[in-house]
Amino acid sequence: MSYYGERFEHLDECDECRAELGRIAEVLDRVEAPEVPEPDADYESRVWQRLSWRLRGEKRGRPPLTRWIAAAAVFATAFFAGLLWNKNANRQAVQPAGIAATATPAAAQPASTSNQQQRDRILLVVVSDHFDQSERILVELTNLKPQEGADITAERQRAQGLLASNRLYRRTAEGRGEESVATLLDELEPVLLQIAHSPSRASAEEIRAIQKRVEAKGLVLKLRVVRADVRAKSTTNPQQPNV
Amino acid sequence: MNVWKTVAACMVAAFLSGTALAGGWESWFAGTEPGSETRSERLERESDLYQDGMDAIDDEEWDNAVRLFSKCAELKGKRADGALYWTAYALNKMGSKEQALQMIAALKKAYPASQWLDDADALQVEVREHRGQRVRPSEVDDEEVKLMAIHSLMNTDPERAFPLLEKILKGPSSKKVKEGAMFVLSQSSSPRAQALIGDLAKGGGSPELQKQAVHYLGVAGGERNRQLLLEVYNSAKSRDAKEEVLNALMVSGDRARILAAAKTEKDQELREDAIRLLGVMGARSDLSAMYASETARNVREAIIDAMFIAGDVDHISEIAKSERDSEIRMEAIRKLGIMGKRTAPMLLTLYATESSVDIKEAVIDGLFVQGNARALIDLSKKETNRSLKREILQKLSVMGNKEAIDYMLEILNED
Repeated sequence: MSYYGERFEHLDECDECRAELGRIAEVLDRVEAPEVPEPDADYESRVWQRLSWRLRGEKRGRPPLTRWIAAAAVFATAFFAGLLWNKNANRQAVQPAGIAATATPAAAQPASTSNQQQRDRILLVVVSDHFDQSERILVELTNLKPQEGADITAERQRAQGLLASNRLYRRTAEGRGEESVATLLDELEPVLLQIAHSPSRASAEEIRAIQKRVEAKGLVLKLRVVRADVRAKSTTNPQQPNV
Repeated sequence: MNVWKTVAACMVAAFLSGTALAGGWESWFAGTEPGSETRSERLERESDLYQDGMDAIDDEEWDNAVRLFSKCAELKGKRADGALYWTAYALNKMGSKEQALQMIAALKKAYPASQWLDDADALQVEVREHRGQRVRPSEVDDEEVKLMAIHSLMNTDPERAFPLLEKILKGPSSKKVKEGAMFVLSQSSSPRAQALIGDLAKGGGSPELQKQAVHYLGVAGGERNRQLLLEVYNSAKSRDAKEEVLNALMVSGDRARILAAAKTEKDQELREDAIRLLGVMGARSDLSAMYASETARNVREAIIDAMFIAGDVDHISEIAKSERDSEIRMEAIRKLGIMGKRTAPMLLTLYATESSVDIKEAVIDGLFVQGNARALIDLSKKETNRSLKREILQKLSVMGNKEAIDYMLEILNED
């Protein structure tokens, strides 16, 4: 950075580093920069095409390879979690060990159990998404600098949007015996309420109060931990390959 | 529960509801406070009480929360309605359901235009249910609260709840409410509910609901749902819907049906999507077999993408070694570069055995991408082609690597 003009006081005092910089500069001086190609005629329109759907919040165009890689990571985690889950389940049922024997065919399970598992998975997947959205709001707010207050209209609206789902999911999780999920949703609810009922232009004090609350309860960490558990649990049976 | 706290809370509730109706509560309040407190002092006190009350809620000190919020509500400041809500919330948590309901009633009476009313309604539904009282959805105005009531009804009397859900899903409700209704539907074991999800997945509602229904079918998994997804795929008119079905099949672990789409789908983009999903599912042998029988370049490139996603170094290396189409070979080499230093031996072997400058440049790019300065230095030392050597040195110069800088200084000193 110093070579490109940025100033570092340390260099004024340290002979060794100054000498090292001199060596690096000597090399860089003699390096021929790679040619930067001129963009082609429709470059701008291509860039705009790639960006515009994001601005509109719509899905458009080919997804980048990174999306597939991210999907692969999720799938891999889910797949192995599924194997592990099934392995444990099979051990309990005193069935033959080994990965090949772990996949219990859905057809072999009682229909009611299978249906119940399917409903559980849907619950856990939607809750995982809900935790994800909640975490984004909380991270946004905890990173605000409260000194002068801030416009939190967007976070407020998002919190309002999440409240009804939070209640619905909490009640379902309670009924389903998903205690860790229900407890976290229960802890999350007052915070979402507080954000949803804050003024759009929150004062420094209001922002500090929200931040203090989120931090004192360790909510962001809890959301991450429980979400990871939930993801692993939610992707058990359906990942049994059918070929 | 401490009796005095409940009594205090009830007194606040009774006071607020009674005096609000009489329209005289402000004067009553003025009488209790001799006017010694300035407006800003009162605001500060209100704010402190409210904040302390929230702290008590966080600490699950419900009786303390009731006391603090009751005091806050007594001040009748701008947060009084919120304070009443939280009093009711804490009372409910304490198990004082009746008092919680009274507090909600007091809030509604004293502050009929409060923004907390919907939340109070939702709390009321919960409290009443805990007391074993069924809340009729028709009694509730707010759609989201209505949905909560339907949710409860779904557990006790699905046959009555189902038409209400269907009405929401097929009516003019907001997207958010419909999504909630779809979730409630998905949690029902009723065959009618399952049939409705299937109908929505086939496009019997809005495209958003179709997308959600398809997603739920994928998440739920099971052979029946997979078969249903296939039917949706075959009958879907839009590419977006088919793409959603492919994703759902992937989520359900249905490799066989995705493989079938990857082999036979007429729409090129969908076909490539299916191929990449095979990569996500780690279907290495299927992809390799497809590659061997495939001739179209774009499809072969999609297969290489999928192999890359699946982390299949072996098959990509094979393509990098033996593919006749040089463009595809270079693509495979670039992918090997991105796959990390474990592919360096393969890339160096290719460099050593290859005569094409383009291929060698692709190898240099690959090593550069993996930040492999050591390998590039080794290549540079052996390289006699000036253009390639210059290419390597250019890459080394921008790697910010000490070993690379030392090597370049070495070269400069030789000059």
